Amino acid sequence: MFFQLLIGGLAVGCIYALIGLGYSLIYSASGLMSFVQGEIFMLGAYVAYTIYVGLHIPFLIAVLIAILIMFVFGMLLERGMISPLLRRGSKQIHIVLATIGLSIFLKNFAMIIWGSDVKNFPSALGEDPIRMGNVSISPQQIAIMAVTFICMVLLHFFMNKTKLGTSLRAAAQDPMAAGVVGINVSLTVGMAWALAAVLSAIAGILLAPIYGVYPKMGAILSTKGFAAAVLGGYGNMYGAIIGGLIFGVVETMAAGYIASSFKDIISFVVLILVLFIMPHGILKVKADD
Amino acid sequence: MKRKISLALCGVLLAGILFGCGGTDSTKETADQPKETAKVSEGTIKIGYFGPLTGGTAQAGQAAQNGAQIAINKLNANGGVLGRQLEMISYDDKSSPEEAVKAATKLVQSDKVNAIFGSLHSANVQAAAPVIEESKTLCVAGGTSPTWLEQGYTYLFRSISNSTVSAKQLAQYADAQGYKKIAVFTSNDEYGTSGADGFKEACKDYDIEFVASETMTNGDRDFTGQFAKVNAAAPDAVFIWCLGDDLGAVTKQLRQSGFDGPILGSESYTLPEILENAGTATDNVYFAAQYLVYENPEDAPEENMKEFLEAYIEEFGTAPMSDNAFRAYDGVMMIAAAMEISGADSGEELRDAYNNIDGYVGLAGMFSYKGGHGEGIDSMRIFQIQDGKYLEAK
Amino acid sequence: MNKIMKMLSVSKVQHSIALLLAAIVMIYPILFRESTYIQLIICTLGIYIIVNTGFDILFGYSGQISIGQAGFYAIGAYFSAIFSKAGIPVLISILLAAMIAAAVGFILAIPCSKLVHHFLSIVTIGFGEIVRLLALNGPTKLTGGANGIGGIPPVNLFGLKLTSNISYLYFVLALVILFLIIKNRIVNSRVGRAMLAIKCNPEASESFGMKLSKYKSMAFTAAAFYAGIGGALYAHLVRFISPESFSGEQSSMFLVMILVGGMGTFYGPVIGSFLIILVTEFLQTFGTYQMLIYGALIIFVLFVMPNGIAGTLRNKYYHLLNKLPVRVSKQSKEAK
Repeated sequence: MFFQLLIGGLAVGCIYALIGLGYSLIYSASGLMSFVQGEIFMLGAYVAYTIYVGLHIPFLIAVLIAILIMFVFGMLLERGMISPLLRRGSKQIHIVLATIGLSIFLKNFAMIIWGSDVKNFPSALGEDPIRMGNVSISPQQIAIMAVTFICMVLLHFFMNKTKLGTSLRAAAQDPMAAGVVGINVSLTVGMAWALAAVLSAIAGILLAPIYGVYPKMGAILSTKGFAAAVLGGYGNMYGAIIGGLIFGVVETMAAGYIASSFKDIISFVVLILVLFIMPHGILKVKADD
Repeated sequence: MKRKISLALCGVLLAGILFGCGGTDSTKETADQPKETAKVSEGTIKIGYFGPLTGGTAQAGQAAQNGAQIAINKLNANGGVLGRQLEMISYDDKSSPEEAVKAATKLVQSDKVNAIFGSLHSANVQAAAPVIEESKTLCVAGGTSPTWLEQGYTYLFRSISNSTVSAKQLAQYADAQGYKKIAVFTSNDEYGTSGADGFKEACKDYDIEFVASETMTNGDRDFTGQFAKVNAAAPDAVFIWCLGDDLGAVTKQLRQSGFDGPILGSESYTLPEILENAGTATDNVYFAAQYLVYENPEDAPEENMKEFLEAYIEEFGTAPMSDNAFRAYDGVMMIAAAMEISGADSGEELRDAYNNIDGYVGLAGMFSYKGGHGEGIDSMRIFQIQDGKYLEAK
Repeated sequence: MNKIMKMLSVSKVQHSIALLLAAIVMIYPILFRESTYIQLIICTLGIYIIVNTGFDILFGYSGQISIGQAGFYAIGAYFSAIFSKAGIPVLISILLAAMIAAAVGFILAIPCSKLVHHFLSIVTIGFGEIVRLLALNGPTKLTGGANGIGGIPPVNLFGLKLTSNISYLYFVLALVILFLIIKNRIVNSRVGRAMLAIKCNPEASESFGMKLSKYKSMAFTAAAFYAGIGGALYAHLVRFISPESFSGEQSSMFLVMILVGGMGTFYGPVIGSFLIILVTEFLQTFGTYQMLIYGALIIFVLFVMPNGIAGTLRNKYYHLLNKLPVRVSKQSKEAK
């Protein structure tokens, strides 16, 4: 049973990691909290569903188009809502409120456009799980872990080895200095939000075959992804991944060994305890005061 | 100065409370009087509806509203009830008990409806019950949990069998099939808990051992931990009691986790989208239900069901998405029947007439409320899903 | 406009307006006895005002973000329900429940005072979820689990049972006024000024010798107490509680209310609660579109009034009266 739980926990943890990555990206680039990542996750799944199932476009192309659309969405979100609000003097908490408002809007928007029934997203990899002894892994779980790993590698490469990624990091560290050197700070902030949207959308597309696609699919993930990011050290990309995996494994182990009804309670208790002991998260990122 | 003003305000408020309290009785009287005169007045008969029109179970709520509308259309086409036309006033209870209380209060106090159909969730019915009972408004609800009819409310009725009946049928079936070890997996809300309790209670008469008892939260999608435990217990069958929107994922994941045996479930399995979402995972599922949700009127064996489906498709363009449409239809039709029999359009007389319904044939079967304390029917059938089709199980 | 603002700044005028409004609010329900639905709404409004006033002490005055107030609200509701059903007089149950909520707030506040911003917010979100999950999955005999607790006794005011909405309304109103006055006292006292100082500049306050954790905990405890009272009042109003009423969405709603109304002001929570309830009631006519419009409205309000309604009005008001230096509306991003 242990390995079954471990694999399940890692798979779920990867999803939390992807969403948590989004939160950390946004925070490190703009110092803001976003509460809409769960709904972007949901939107990504719906967009992919519409293109793949509705328009019968081949899977990989459909996914690429969906990712592109969500990238633009993330960019528009930052340019069209966040920046204007900041310019008008909104404080951090007002941005939080705006993202809460947007999440309510998106959830109901999805309900109205697509209906509240659970839509079936056929898996491109088939449904039959692979059985190894007592452990069965579904192809989607393998896909989740593989894609998350690839995303991490790509992101690491992007951030450290490309000009755009390095300027993103620079702008995050010190916007004024970065501006002085000629980096377009507002563009990089937009990029951060856009990337975060892409990550959440990828998570949505990965989970759609398992979850089905429905308007409320992102709700609890918003909270857990945020928790993962904070647990690992908010603002730190690698922290988000570690936080996500830990959160996922703890949750699944708790459900398996203790009691399923206490699964969520235990995850949050662990989270709170860790934060009390390590107020800056596991990877000791300094929280800007 | 400020302090004196504050003290004065508090004093006035206290006086207000006393005044308000003293007024409780008179409020009731003035509320009753308009109703008394309304009995003989003209105007439309108002049927109130409250249910989840938004939220996770919006489909069920909308289906129910539509079902009620079909009933009203049919009654109006045949000359109405007591010579008057019917109209529906509906509110969204957002699947929340608080909203349910507000919706019910609006219906009985502001809109002064003659009778109500609603809600679908037992928690919402329970929350709204005191208001409905106090206003002496007849209310037929569609929730299957037995609890809200065990509290002593005299104005509440149910238009479908409750979950204890399903539980008994399933327990009987399980015993007949020889299942000795059963794992229980339910949602941790009112619906799931009462289903589990009913089933465990019914199984006491048989030689059945419960080897695992797991829960999930409505909306959650990761059941690795729970199913690992279920599989480790090696059950003969798994009993699942969850709301329809979760069932597709639940069934699929259970199969993927390695369990191929029989699944015993609730009428939530009649939700059409489950077949699509779970695919072949639904093979070997047996559930107790009052009726099936037919996509095609031709498939319906009963005449009245065929008629209903045709009218529904004509009005709304698709077949009903949930069996709650049938519950609402039966409820409203029986309310109308009670009105015709008694000549009363509201209040105590109407309630008494409803209580005397005996032998009414609805979509669910034969209803008889005499001495039932609100329950009107207690027969369910066992269905089986095989290759994406529903069959009646033997 | 200038003249009106000047007139409004006179204390006496403010007080007489407040009295007039209070009188209207008190007489109105008597005139509209039939409309128990509106009375129900006003009772809910009063309860939210109490909760949000406490929340404002925590957030508006000492700057701690909490998105888990529904947790204290739930503690107040559940404990009051359990106590009163066990036979303890209702008024005492309400008080006891609120004190338990305050105690939990105090215990939570000690480690929380070390946390800032997102760390604090995720801990409070987690707290809210834990309370709700405990109510759902905890000892069923006590909390009723998914079924909730029904048949909660009504408030018994020295022999008078407050069963009708209208009598409850006056009871709640009295408490609202009481708690608003208490908040005013806290905020205008040394403690309140210390909290504001901490909110604006924690390091400087510390260097002045203020013990941060002490004031932060006080704010937390006060907010928890207020929310506990609100929850208990809710329990005795609707007389049925279940875990569904205490979800993260409820915490979000409280946050929306004080942000829209304006934090750190006296009337902010009142205006915010009033407006949001008004809007949600009004939107009911839109059926399935209501929440969609609600989400869009929140964003719209933020665009128009970035500091909430009372906050923006106050800024404009001070600006007009030159009491404070003119606030540049285009603030730099670093200002938090």
